[in-house]
Amino acid sequence: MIENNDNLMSRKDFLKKSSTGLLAFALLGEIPFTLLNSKKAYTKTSPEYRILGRAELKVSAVGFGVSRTMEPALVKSAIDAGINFLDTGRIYYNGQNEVMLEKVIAGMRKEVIIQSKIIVSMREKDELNKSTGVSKRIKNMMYSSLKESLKALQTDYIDILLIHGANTVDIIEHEAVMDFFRVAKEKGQIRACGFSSHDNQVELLKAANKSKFYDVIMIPYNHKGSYRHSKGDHYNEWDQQALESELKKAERNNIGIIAMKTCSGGAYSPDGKSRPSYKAALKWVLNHSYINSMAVAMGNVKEINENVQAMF
Amino acid sequence: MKDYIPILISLMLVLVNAVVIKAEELKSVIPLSSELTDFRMNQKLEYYNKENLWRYINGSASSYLAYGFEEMVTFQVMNLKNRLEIVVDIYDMGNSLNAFGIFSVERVPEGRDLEFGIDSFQYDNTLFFWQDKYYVKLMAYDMTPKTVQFLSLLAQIMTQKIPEKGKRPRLLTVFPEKGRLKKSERYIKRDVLGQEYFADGYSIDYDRDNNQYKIFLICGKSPKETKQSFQKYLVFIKTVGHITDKHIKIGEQAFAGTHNYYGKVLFARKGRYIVGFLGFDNQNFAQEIIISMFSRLT
Repeated sequence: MIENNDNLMSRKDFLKKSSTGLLAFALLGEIPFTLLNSKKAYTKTSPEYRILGRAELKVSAVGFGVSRTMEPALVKSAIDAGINFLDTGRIYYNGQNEVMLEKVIAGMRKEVIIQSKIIVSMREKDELNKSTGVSKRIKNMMYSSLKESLKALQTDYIDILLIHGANTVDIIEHEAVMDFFRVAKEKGQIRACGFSSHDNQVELLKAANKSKFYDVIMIPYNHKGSYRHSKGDHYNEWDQQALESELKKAERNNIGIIAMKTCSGGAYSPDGKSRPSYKAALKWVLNHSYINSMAVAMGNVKEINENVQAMF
Repeated sequence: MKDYIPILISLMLVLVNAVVIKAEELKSVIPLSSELTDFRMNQKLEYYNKENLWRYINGSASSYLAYGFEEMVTFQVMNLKNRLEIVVDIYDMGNSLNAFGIFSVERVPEGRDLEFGIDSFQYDNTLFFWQDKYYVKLMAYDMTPKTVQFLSLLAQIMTQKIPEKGKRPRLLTVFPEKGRLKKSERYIKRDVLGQEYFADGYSIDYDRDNNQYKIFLICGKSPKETKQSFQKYLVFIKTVGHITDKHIKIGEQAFAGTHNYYGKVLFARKGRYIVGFLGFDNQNFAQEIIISMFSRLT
């Protein structure tokens, strides 16, 4: 579901923040005058927000993958530019990424949507088939991670909690894992649950569509149907048609979908003639209604300025 | 083409040799089973390099790669009932500055200080230390008294196996001592202060007379490059605050301003260095600090 009107914050706050953001763009020579003066180049002058599936959270179409930075001023710049969806994780910088994020969101918790992620690791390979003692250990591990995240973020709830990098159906369908999420939701410690996956996303989406248990799923998705990591040379490609078929089902099931690796497929030219750009690559992703937001990892103000243009 | 074949073969041999040497270097840090009692090493060592590190540590790989990660090895230690007890990760970060860097951004202030390597701490069920180019984590599944003792023994053995000691970054001595918040020293390799033109930065947090502030030291590649990046940052400050004084006589150029996150800020440059004082309540004090830091920079 896509919405363009922002009701998330008061009108006064929104005008203040977006005008600060626009001024930033103007002085840095980015969007600026085309945004302010041209009706051709941009149809929107306010950032785009979308509803994240059945979680019913209003998230900026461009989200901030906070994992690449430990600079709170940068996160503030992103929020000032209209981004309210912030993706972090327990594993980033040994939990200190969440601690850094807390410094920025203190005093404005309700104005942002926090997504964090916890690792679910099986101690031994055959643990997936065992029960009771194993279930208890898994739940304790997950609860311990959640507790640490709540403490680091100085909040009593996390909007979206994901299993970080789930690559097999066994993990997402483990009874202990699902039980943990049920209890965490009942206690009000999380508002939505889900998983992220770096590969095998078609199979995992199929399973999630079947169970309809998870509220949010974060997967690689871009125009190329593949990505090569900018550092480390990791490569992954997927069956784009099969993935999009499952994504459409997910939309019908009201499952929120967050795209990642959106720029890792490279710059994109919509008509094959114009100069490829990362902004166009992001817009390609957002042109699909089953995508509710994107976690775009950004490390500096220049990247924020470039990427946030995709939601104007 | 035939003439180049011997050269190509030689190059390949050098590369393969380099990889083998790296793996052997890492392996040399690992304790031998004979050095342990009540536990035994799982003989299977898993190596990860720049290409596949993500398979082991997921999205964290990005930050490790940014800090010059070269290769790592992980191994498990079992108890005598063959149950997994401890997982050890040894990261070769390329040099001691990088090792300190990744350690510094992952350090948990509430962690219990220990005395392994150059710096070390324990938090929750993990012991962390860095020494020379190595960053090491030892994770226990259950923190029984026996396991805690064993973690320390493992760490001790490993620090003795690392041939070089290494040192904390020299530039940290340029910062003032008074009011320094322990464990807040950081080395930031890129995007310092969220700016793509700032790299190789150090920061320390302070709390002095109830005033909390932060000092940055950024090292440019040359005075010319530093002048350009300083100017860019001055322009940037106008977008997140404003300049209150750009005629301050410190170094070669300096300005004071306000920042919508950091409050009052003062930045100055001299040669290839930039010093930033963020969150001051007394500009004269901030100026004195920066002047004294420049005097310690050669």
